Amino acid sequence: MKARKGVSEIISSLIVLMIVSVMGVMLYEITLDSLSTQQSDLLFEVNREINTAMERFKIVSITRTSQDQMNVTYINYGDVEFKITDIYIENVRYQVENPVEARKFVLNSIIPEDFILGSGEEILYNVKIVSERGVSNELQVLL
Amino acid sequence: MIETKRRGISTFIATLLLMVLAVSAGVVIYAYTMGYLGNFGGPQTMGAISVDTYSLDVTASASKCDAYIRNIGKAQFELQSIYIDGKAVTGTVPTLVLKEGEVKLLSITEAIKGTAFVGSTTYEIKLIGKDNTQLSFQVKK
Repeated sequence: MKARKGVSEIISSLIVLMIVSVMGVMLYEITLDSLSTQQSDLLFEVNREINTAMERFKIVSITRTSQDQMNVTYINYGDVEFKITDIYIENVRYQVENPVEARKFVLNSIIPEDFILGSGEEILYNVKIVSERGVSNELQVLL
Repeated sequence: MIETKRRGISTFIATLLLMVLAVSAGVVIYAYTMGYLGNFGGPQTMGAISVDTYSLDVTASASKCDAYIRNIGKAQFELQSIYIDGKAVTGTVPTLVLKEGEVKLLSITEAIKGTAFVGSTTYEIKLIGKDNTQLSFQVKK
């Protein structure tokens, strides 16, 4: 007489089914997580590119204030709002404290606090303003 | 009567072994394909950087290119190598780590293979980050 030991076919099928299901769920989760991360990164990148392309601003005037400081006025003539975060005078960086959201067709001004204009003869300054998205506009001015 | 002894693993164990093998092979191929070996499922966000402004100093006493680099991407940027006109800058690459939205000054003191920058010459500078984020810009005095 032959002794047949082991789990029944039904039990073995159930175990196999369970293992396959667990593996499937794990693979699904990993793939979904990876895909959603990639999708979110792609969306961020696309939005950044679109906003950068739509961001347009221009320095409209640079004047001397009574405290011998520089007052840079710019206008947003693009379709998106932005913040001017940095101003470069002769390639030296001056951070803008508390940058404001520049709304469409509204004039905004920046005064670099740490910069004092030279007295005496007028000097040609190269002024560049840069937004948080890295878009810039520059102007040379005699002050 | 001849009795044949049939020894071996049961079909159930054999199936399980095959499944384990198939799943392992699948995971290895998946990991290899997705480039996640060593960083399984981890974020692989590519960064983005831009140059705010630069200046090239080619006086007799100094020879350097200063550039303000801005991180406009989502991930942290860490500089790995610099190429000028297609050739790697020798010596120590300056340390530059930029968090999201951060701006820092990068000073490059040599042009190609230890030579100084010279005036009236256009240099193409390429920055490459550890995550392969790249930025190319041209400088000229």
